[in-house]
Amino acid sequence: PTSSRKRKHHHSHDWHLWSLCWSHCSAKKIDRQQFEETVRTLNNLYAEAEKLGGQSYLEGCLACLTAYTIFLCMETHYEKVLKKVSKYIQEQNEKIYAPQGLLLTDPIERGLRVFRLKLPFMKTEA
Amino acid sequence: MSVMVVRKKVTRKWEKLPGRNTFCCDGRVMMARQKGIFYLTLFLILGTCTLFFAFECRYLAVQLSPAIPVFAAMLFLFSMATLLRTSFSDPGVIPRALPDEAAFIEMEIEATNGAVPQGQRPPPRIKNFQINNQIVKLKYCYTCKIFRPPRASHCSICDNCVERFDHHCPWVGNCVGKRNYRYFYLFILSLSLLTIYVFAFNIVYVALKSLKIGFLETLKETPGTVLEVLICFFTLWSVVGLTGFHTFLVALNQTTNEDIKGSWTGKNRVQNPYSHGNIVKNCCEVLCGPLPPSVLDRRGILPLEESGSRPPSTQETSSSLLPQSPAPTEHLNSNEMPEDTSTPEEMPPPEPPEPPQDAAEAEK
Repeated sequence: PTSSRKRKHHHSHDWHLWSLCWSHCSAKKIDRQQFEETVRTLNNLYAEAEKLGGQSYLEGCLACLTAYTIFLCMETHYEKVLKKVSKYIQEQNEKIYAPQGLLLTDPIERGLRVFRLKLPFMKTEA
Repeated sequence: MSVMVVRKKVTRKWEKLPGRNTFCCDGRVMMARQKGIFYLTLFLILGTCTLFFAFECRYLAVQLSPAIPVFAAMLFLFSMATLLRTSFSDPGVIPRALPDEAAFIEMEIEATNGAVPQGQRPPPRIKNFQINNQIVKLKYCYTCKIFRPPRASHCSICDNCVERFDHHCPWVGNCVGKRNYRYFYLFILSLSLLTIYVFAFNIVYVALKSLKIGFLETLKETPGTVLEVLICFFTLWSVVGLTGFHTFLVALNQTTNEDIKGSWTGKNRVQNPYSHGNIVKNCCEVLCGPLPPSVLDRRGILPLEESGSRPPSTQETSSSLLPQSPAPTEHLNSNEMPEDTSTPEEMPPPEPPEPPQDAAEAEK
């Protein structure tokens, strides 16, 4: 038996909460604390990406004035944070989830709707 | 003797994306299927401006000021840039559910709604979530097999779910959504200014020249003026009105879709939770806020469908971008990649029987 846990992420300002839908318990139980910590950190990172503040407005106005050609040489703030997210997920996978035989996918691949915990190898356990 | 050179063709992800979009420049450009009206828009703008620069500007630059064509050129370039940006970029398409996720959700729906007779559409599925003490209703999209994020909507013309869906604009040849709304707004704004500018200076030109050689002579000398004035006149009524409407929407942080459906108006409805209450803040968020990158990864390379190939980890999800098959078992059989035996099976909380092949694959 395997499992896929899903998180629904609401991608609006202020509404960063991952609501947990545990689909069912699998033979492999992961530490709920650990998982919530990962989710919380990811939430904070996405909140940072979407933050409306001086820096994002400045970037937006500058981009508009240069007819958006500035993005040919500069990376947007959002993209920088997404890079941080993928590094964090990689790190988490290496430290926590891979030793348990799980793999966390980057939510951006599914449009920030869900992310999946994959089991790279199958173990027949009770 | 002839030598056959076999060139390995690389398949990129955009070639296998579902939905009715056309892609150009090897996946860099993304548009809707119907592009006729977009070409018309291009033709009208380019044609009118060419006539303006060729005829009126030469006279006005000499008689009044050389700044006139310079400013017109700036407006023209800006509106063309924003038009192309709106038309060619990804509006915020949400990738469809992978077959295993779709199967899981469908089984969940069936479990709560009971079995649905063949051919009948099950009732719209709404999931309630509580976020920061507010109840959010998510609607299920039957085509994309996902629960749509709030403010997302399915475009029937492009057959995609689009985030913060505003409307599908045939003039621009694309949907207007989260990622290209600001370009769309800047386009209609700059086009309004350009139209007013060209219209005004055409009038000025005709007036000035008529004083010298008379009205009819002026029209005979530059017949293009009549055409320009006509086009500008009709454009004014439509585009300026549209700009006004969208300015109103931006100030309230609403989408056209929500406005039409009346999502936030009415006595018993919730007030728009996305509005900051402050016009300036709303404008800043919509026009200068952070821009998320496209999640479609159109130019990613699809791994080859060989059993020997080992795709890199980031390409794992790409296998599911193949055309959606109705039954999850078909998908599992067509996948020969060793990593895919790891794709988790979905098991719903109550236990309806799973297709036997899934279990067989899982045991491998």
